[in-house]
Formats: sequence, C-alpha cells, structure tokens
Amino acid sequence: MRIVITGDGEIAYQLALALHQRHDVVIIENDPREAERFGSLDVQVLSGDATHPEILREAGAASSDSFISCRASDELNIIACLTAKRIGCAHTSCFVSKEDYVQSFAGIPEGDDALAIDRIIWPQYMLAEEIARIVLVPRAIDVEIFAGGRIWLMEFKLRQGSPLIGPLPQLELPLGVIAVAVRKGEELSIPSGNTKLEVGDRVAFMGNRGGLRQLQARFLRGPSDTVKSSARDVVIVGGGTVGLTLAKRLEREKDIRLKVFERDPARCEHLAAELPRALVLRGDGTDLALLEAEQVDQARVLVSVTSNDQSNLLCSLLASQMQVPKIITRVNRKRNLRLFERVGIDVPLNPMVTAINVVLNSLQDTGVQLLASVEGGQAAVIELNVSDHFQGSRVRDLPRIDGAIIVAVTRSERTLVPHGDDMIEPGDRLLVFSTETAREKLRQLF
Amino acid sequence: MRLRLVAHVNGLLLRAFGVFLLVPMLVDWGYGNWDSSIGFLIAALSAVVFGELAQRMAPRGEDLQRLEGIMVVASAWLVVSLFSAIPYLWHGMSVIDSLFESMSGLTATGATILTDFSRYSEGLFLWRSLTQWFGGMGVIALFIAVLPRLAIAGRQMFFAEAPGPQEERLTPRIRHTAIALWSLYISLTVIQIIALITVGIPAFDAVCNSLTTVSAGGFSPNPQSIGGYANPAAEWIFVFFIFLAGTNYSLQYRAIRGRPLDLFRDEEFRAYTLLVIVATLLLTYFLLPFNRDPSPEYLSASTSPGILTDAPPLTVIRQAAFQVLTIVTGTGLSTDDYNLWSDQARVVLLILMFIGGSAGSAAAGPKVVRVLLIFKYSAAELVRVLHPRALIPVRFNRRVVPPKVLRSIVTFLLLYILVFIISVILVAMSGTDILTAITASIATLGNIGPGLSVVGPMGTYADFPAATKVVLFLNMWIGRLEVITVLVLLQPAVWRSLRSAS
Repeated sequence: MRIVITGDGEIAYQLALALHQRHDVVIIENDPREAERFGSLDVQVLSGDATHPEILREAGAASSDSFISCRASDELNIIACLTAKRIGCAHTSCFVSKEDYVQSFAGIPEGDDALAIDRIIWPQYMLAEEIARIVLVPRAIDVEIFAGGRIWLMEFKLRQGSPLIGPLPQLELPLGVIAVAVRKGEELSIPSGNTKLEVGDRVAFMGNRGGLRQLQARFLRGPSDTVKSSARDVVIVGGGTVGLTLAKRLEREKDIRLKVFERDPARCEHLAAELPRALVLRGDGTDLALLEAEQVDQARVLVSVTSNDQSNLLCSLLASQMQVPKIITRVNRKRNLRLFERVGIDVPLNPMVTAINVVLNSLQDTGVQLLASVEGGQAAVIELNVSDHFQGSRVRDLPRIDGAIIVAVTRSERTLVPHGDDMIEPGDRLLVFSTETAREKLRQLF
Repeated sequence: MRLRLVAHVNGLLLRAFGVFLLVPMLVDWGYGNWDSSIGFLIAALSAVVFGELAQRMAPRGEDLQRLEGIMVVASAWLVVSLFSAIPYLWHGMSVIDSLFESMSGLTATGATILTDFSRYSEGLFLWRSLTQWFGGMGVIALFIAVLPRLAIAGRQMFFAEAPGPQEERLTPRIRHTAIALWSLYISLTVIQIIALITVGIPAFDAVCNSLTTVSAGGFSPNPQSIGGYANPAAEWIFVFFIFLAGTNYSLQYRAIRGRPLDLFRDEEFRAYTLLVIVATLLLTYFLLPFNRDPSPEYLSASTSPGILTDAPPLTVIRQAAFQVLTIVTGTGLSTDDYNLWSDQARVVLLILMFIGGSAGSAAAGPKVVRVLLIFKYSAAELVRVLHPRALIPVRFNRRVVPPKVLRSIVTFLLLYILVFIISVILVAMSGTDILTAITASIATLGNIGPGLSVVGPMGTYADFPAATKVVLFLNMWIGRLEVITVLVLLQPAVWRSLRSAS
C-alpha cells in the first residue's frame, strides 16, 4: 500500500515507525531541518507544504491508497486532506483538535466529494473518553470497553490488604471474568496456574459487566478503601481541549464534584462559561499552596492533563504526596511514558496511542483489528474473524499459544466468555488478549 | 446636544398624540357629553398645534445621538403627560392633580386622585384607561410602529424606554419588532374585552378595564375597582390576563409563533410563575384564619367584603391570586379592600411590591430577572470567599451574563433604592404614617398604583399636599423610565452640553 503522511510532530514518526516495514510510506515534512528524524526508517521524505497540490503530486498522493495529515494546525490538516482528495487520493485521514471542526465535518454525507474527509481523528477526545472511563470505575487504573459494552477490561493495582492477594487459582473469580495479565514491575505475563498475586502487582481482568461488577464489589470491601465523602471529588489540572472535554463528560455524572485548575485567565473564562457545574479555578496545578487551599487531598481522583509533561509530572507527584488515591497523568511525549511509570505514576496516558491504533486499524488488510493497547503497548486486545477454512474446535483442544487468551466469542450478535467446552467455529469473531509476540501465531491459527 | 432636534422629535410625537385625543372626544359625543368633549378637542388641537410648531424647529431625517435619544425619551413622557392632563383640568381638577392623574395614567401606575367617580364623563374614564394602554407598551414603541420616520432614530429610544434590562429583538428591524409587539398587545386586549362581555361585564367597563389590564395599569371606571362587579368568572379572567401582562411580551410572541413550551425554557418566566404560585399559596394560608375570624373594621367597611366568613376556599384562593398578581405586576386593580386584611397577609403584598413582573412586559418595578440575577450574583460572591481563585460566572438562560450587565443591574437596584429612600423621607415630611410613606413611594416608583394605609385600594392620593404629589409625580416618571434614563440627565456634563447647545 502507498501511504502519504504529513505531520510535524511525534504522531507522524510513530505512524511511520509502525507502517514502514509493510507499506510504501512517503513523508511530507514542512521543515527540512526536521527531516532527519526519519533517517532510521525506510521511508521517502519530501520537503514542502502538503497543502500545495504540486508537493502532493510529487509524493504520489494522486495514486496513493491513504493520505494522513497530522500536523498541529487543524486548518492545515483539513486543507491538505481536501487537496489530496481532489487530486485523487483514495482515503484521507485528518487529525483535528477542535470540537467545532469535528462537528462541521461529521455531518457531511458520504457521497459529497467536495468536502469529503474519510476519517476524522480527534486524539484529545479519545484521551478524554479513556480518562473518563478510568475515573468512573472506582479503583481501576485502566478501563476499556469492547463489543458494544458487553465485554470490559479493568486493571487494578493491588494495595496492602487487598482481598485479591494470594495464589491466583484460589481466587474464586466471578463467572464470566478472566484474569488476563499480571504485571510485576516491568514484566508482563499472562497468568497461569502458579501465578501468585502480591502487593504492588497490576492485574487486568476481562469479562462481562455483571461479573466484573461482582469483582469490583469484592475489591471495594478492602480495608485500605476509606470512604472520604459521599460525593466523589474529581480534580482536573489543565483546561485545554482534553481537560474541557473530560470535564464536560464528567459533569453528566450527578455524584461527581469537579474542580478544574487552569493557568490562563482568558481560558478560565471560557471554561467557566462552558462548565455550569464545575468549579473553575485560576491557578497553577503545581502550586502546592493552592492545591492545599482547595483541599485536593480530599479528592478521589486527580487528572493532570496540561500540555506540559513537566507540569503533569510535578502535579501528579504532589497529588501522590497528598494521598490522592487515583492519579491519572497525561504524557505528551511517548518516550516519557516509561519514565513516568518508573517514578510511580499509576496511570500515565499518551493521547496518541489510541489515535495511532485507529489509523493503523483502518490500514489493516485482514480481519485482525487492534482494539486497545494495554500496558504501554506490551499487550493488546485484538479482534479477529475466524476464517472459513478453520476446522471447528473446542477451546480446550486449541493448540496452546503462549501470551494469548481468548476472552470472548461473538456469534450472530451474541457475545459470551468461553469455557473449555465451548466451540470456536468459522465465522466467529474472537476477542483475544495477546502480547505482541503471540499476534502473528494467532493470525496463522485462525 | 442639539435641543432643536430633541424638540423636533417631541413635536412629531405630540402631533400624533393629538390624534389619539380625538377618540375620547368621539365617545363623549356618542354619550351626549358635549361639555366634556370640548376639553378633549382643546387638548387635541393644542397638542397638534404645538407639535407642528416644535416639529419645524429642525429638518427631518437627522439621526439622534445617544444622549439626544435619552433626552427625547425622558422629555417626551413629560411633554405628553402635560397635554394628556388638559381633559382633567377641563373637568375642574387642580393643575397638580391633573398632572398627577395624567402621569399616573401614562406610566400605567394607577394611583388616582379621583374620589367621587360620578362627576366625570365616560370619555374621561376611557381617556384614563387609554393613556395607561398607550403607556404600558411604551409611547415611543407605539410611535416607532406608527411613524416610519422615527424608525432609525428610534433605536436608541426604544431601549431607553423598554422595561427591563434586555435588548432583545424579535425581528432585525426595530419597527417590525414594535409592530409585532403592538399587534400582540392589541389582540390580547380584544380577546379580554370579548371574554369580559361574555361573562356579563357591561361593554364600556369591559373596554376600560381591559385597556388597563394588559398594560398593567390599574385604573377602573368602577370606584370599587373589579370588586365592584362582584363577578367571580370575570375575576378569573382578570387573573389570567394580569398574569400575561406581567409576562415578557417578546416571549409570548415567540411562544405563539413557535412552540409554546419555549415559555418554560425561559428562566425568568419560570421564576415569575413560581413567585406567583408561592406568594398565592402563602397569602391563602394567611387569609384562611382571617377569613374565619375577620376584624370588625373589615366587616364594617363601606365596601362589601370580598371574602365572607362562609366563603369556600376557592374564593380565598381567587382573592389571593388576584391580589398577588395585581401587586407583583404593578397593575393595581383590586377585588377587595386588602388594606383591611391581617398584617401577615399585607406583608406578603408589601414584599411583592419590591419585586415586580418580568422584563419586557407591561409590568413595572425592579423586575424578576434583576432580583434573580442579584441573588445569583450574591451567591457567586459567597462562593468566591471560600475559593478566591475561582471563576464563577452568573448564568441566565444557560448563558453567561457579562459583568457589564451585572454591574448595571447592581447600579439600577442601588439607584432605585436611593430614589425610594429619598421619596419616603419627603413623603413622611408631609405628616403621613410610615406605612403610607413607604407604600405611596414604592407604589408610584414601581408604577403599581395603590399601596397600603391611606393609599390603599379604596383610598386616594387626593389628600396629600401639592409638594408630596410632585414628589410622587416624579417617582412615577423615574420609575417608568427605569431610573437610569432619568438620572443620567442629572450629570453635570449633560448640563454643560445643554448650555452650550442654547
């Protein structure tokens, strides 16, 4: 496939990194000085502005299968996509950060070529949705939803006194819940019969909503969970697009009391106008005196989503010192993710990860879709279609693949969490939790 | 300031106003009151002549500046009240009494000097009601609708006169907005007249009372006001139309044109409705024991009591609803001598006098929206004490109210209270009791009409000394123009520009 990418930030690099081995990738780089960062990749780099038809033609966009524009400016992305479409590109993906543009392009009917952008990607919204899910499930440090809400993934960090501590097989998990991953330190493993859960481990469970709800109920009885107040206080530091989108989402929850910290006075006014229920505070999230005055230590969750990684880190560490039980931190540079985890940030999230997955999925040829990256990309939840020449088999009789667990089977609109005796048949859609290494084996098997 | 231009616009208004003075003249002819009709003829002629002369002082078509617009509005109400007083003079009232009655009419206040109603002609009663009807929607608004030449210059004036803090338009052109509002106003009046005639009110009374209901005025040709007809069905009709008179007319217009549910999406309408319901229930609660055990002076009053001891609760509710609405909207009609009710009941009415109806309605007073915003503003300030860094915008109808608007509302309320206090002191100096001084002041400043004690619904303003009447006359004028329009003109800078103009 021929793929043309234009972008001035990290997304372009990450996309190129993921795509260059299997596709013909052409990069249009606006700033010639930046071109060298693609040096280690097997891609063609052109210098120029992707809003000019000549450059696009030169890059072969006219005959390309996909054009992706992920520059910092929404307007430039939109113009580049429209131009690419005009000269004959098959499929365009446009990164957008402002809600207004998302809305104005969302309503255009499919056939209308003049203003057709095939895919609008709004990373800030995706991040906000992801954070909202994690905020709304008590104690969870990661939450993902699959199969239209029928299958959930929840990850928890085991604290002192948690009822889940002990050998995993002795833990009578509710029906329809599977432990899919245990992470001790940096090392991720798929649990087996002799896995022992210890303090500080992170455990990911997948299953249906009812089963996970029972599990949560068991979790919440833990002694370390002191109920501080009946309403849930949530603090958001940083009122940018992510902060605002998240705040709007959380305002819909009746029992959540929101505080939003923002440094820029003009932005504060905008936030205050947009958020009727939240308390908007003008100030820096790294100002300890302010955090104390506003009783951030009483909060159930603190979300730090400024565009500055240093601020996010400092603010999260302060909150951690103030014993805030759940801290969610935005990490703008993907390479900082590891570092953040190492200094004890529970939930570091990068806005680009989900967005990049969406783009990659749209370029995937086969029936394998990556639905969510877990644990900083060490594992993923993927969906795959069982091909027609697969011989029907019971789950227990399938050849064993290390690092992969079948979590759910969807057949004629019904989704169930399979047991050893359940059948896998051609035409089924499988939800599989798998590590990166196991993915290729899965593809071969089904 | 170009005084000639101000005179020119005033002249235009006056000339048109003269034509309206012919209506009661024709009515008096119809009833055979030849003598009385001459008064209207004189008034009409002099208004037309003076209007024509003033109109010639400047060429047409010049646009008014901001200060000139305010000056026109403030002076027009005085000038028009001057000529509208001529028929009262003709009927033998003193100059100050005539001016008082005339201003009370134009400002839709409803405070009256009249004591013996039998001395006056039908034409005069109709004129009294007509002035309220004109004034309720706004004299300027009327003339903008009627006189296309005023349309451009009228922009400034329309909002200087419009009751309430909003600057909202139904149509892009001010003249069409004025026409839309006036056609709604006329329709409501006609519907009420027909409804009243259907339940047995005499045609002439139905017309006069309807004119003063939709305008939230309060004059009635019956000396005992609505109570004098002893007609419960008619009283319910009044309750309905007084409620509408206190509702934003722009909102009603949109509700009729679009979806009626839009009414309840308006925060002020919800607050106004809630206020009326709560006050009615409270008043009913206070009236029920009074109903069982009325005071001797209530029973022995000259008028027939509205609530008899064996009255069913529905009658008490009707009395309560009528009186709550008539006070809160500043209409001032009455079905009973509530001045003789118990103190608990009277205090409910006293508090309502300080709130008023909706912005953009015929009702006067500080208006529900202002009171609402002041409360929200205060609440926000209290939160700010706890969270000094917080931004707490005040919202109205889901929109953020700009600080500029809040500031002007606070200013309005402060000036309103200031004028009120000065007035109370001046009225009290004439030797009245405190309750009379307070309620006479607020009843004129809030364009309500009757107050309590001496100026109660069956009382009159006739016995005040002339100086006090002048104070109350000014109150009505200042109150109708929402205080600021008048007080703006007291600035030294304005006086200097006046002097340089002449």
